[in-house]
Amino acid sequence: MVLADIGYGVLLLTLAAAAWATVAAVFGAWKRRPELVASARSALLVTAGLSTLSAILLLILLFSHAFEVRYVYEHVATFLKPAYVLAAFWAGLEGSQLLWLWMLAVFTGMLVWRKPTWDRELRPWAMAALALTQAFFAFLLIMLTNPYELLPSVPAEGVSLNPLLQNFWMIIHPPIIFAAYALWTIPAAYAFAALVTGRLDAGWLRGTRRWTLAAWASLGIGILVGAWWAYLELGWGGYWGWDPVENSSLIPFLVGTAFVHSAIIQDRRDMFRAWNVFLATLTFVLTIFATFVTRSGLIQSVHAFAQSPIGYYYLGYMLLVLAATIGLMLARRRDLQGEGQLGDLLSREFIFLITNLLLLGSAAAVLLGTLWPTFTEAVRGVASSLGPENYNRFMGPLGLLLVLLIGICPLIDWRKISSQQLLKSMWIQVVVAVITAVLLIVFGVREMWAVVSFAVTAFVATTIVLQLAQGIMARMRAANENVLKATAQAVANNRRRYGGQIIHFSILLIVIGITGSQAYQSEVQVALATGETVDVGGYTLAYEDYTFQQVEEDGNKALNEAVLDVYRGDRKVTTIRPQRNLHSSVQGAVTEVALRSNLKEDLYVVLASLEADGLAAFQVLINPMVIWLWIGGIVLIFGTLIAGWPPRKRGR
Amino acid sequence: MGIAVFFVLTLVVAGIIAYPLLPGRAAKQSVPAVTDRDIDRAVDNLRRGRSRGGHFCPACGRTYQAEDLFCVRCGHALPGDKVISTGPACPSCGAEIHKGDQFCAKCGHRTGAGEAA
Repeated sequence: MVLADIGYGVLLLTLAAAAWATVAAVFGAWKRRPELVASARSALLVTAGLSTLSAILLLILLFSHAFEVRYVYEHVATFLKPAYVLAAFWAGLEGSQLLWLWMLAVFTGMLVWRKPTWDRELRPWAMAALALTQAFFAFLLIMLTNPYELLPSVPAEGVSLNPLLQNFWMIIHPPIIFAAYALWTIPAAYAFAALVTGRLDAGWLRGTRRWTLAAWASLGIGILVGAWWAYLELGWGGYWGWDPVENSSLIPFLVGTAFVHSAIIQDRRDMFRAWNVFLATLTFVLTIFATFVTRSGLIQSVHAFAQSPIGYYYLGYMLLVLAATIGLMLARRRDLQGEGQLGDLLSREFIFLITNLLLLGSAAAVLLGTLWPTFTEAVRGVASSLGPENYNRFMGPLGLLLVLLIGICPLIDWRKISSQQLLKSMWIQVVVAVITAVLLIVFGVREMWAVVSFAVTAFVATTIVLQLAQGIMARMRAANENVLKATAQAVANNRRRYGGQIIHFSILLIVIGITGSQAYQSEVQVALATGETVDVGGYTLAYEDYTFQQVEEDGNKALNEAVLDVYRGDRKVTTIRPQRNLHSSVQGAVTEVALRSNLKEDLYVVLASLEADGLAAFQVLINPMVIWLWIGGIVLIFGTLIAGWPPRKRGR
Repeated sequence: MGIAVFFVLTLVVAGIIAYPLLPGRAAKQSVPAVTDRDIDRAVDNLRRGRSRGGHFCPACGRTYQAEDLFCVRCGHALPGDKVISTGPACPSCGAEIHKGDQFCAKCGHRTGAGEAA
């Protein structure tokens, strides 16, 4: 097959160009040879083009059902819908790595396209780090996971995509996650460049700030989209199961969050230089770890389909990056001393430090929990994994403490504040929190941790609103503007601050969603014959009709569907259709959840079984406030856009 | 067919990468001959120099104070008339000698053996 051969050849060229870019950038920067650095830049633009070409070639092979290519055979079938053919691109190890490489090469291309400005000196070294990472992925693709590998004969039909992955959110989830991983490479590459050149002031942080923000937000959104997929497709009524694959993307998110915050401290107070360099690198290494966990089969989980010796290469690269960073940090230890000193225990710096430690502590705890089965298997010979309750026990309190700090931090000044001043500035919040708690208890909320969680949320929300109001009122008074104009101006003049506050607000929405759904999930399991009804949480479900094993035209899927009318009192609200379909490709049933959401709660119905005579078993869940998670995600995007939007160019 | 495409692609890639290396194609995206770090250091030296009198050793560039005779880094004899006062001068190095000094404060030459007050 010509296209597959060309695809493989393109990968070879990508590796060659990336390897050359690494060498040329290093020598060019070291020996001050501009023409070598320029050649490295051209090579990186070439890898962006070549990896795009190889992605296009794989897409062509997938869409043309070229089953002689193993990857196409394993992930596509003639009856697969086109949208899912697209999803097949990143459904397996080979395609995922190609996606990683492609994203990284495109972002690198965008970075080097522009002439260097603030980063004249750092750029060549950052290019070297980015090129080396590209070479690493190109090498893996060529040596171990060639997506263009041919089968000895041409099968008539493909295996098709895992039905669990046949979901809209699985089309967009992997690209967002891999984009985030690739974006995190850029701050890490500049951290490396800062270490090599010794320019460890806040310059590299300011220069890469928008890349970092984009990386952080994409990772957050990617995780939420993954949770939404799990909620819709896995059919157990939850969105987060502390599955190793979910954890593996949460860990870099937590460390990256620590980095985003400590970067602010270095920017403002020239502290935490070493800490920032290390966190940027660690986040990148953890994204590699996440890819490794997902794809190596190190820890078995619903996602970890593949087993491959590739893990050793990942481990090797992670160790190489960490060792190089730590070695350089030791060599640069004098430059890593910042000017700033940690002030009083009641200073904003100190609260940031605590936030950092909490985030890293929780990341370490999740990492340990994720690796626990591997440890126990190594030590005792039997893998024992930790259930969600283990995670919830420590992540719940840690998370709440972190959220509380969001509300306290803005009240504390840099360097020092007296405890009287602090108490004076937060009495309103305390009052609001106490009133919230009392009201909740009066209205019959008995789960103490839910009361605490909502009270903390109220506290923090009050801080955010008060801070915003102060800014706006100050403008209204000073510039004599009306509310709308004052708001717009205040936000426009300090995007970083207000963008950050909006992101914090989105975190509160997510906390509300988590608390509500954890505290008040109610579940009913019921078997019904057609015509029967069941009352659940204020809804009446009437089982009207069913479809039993109706084989679809392509002969690949047998549809099992129940039709339920949903009543609220006497009023019919909607009709829902939970499914439990038999897919020939997995020889098993895959549930499609029926969902009805509003701001208060989700009605979540799973068809557990269906008999030929229509007798059906349903699992009906009422999940309160889940929708606030997704609303929080949208607000998070909005806040990030505000925080990262380029500043207005000042007129001459 | 596949080989031909691969061959052409290789040539194109090699061409793009090698282009900046051609003689006379001095790259526009240069590595600075003077880095920001060098500039910082120079500024730092200037600042330090100002506070010390703004004198630089003609040999190595190190700052010195007005009354210094030799550069503390390279040992170069520093220019300028070091004898600021009109009082007695050391016969060996020319530095000022205060009344009652037994030895020159700058070079250690015995100057006033019998002059003790």
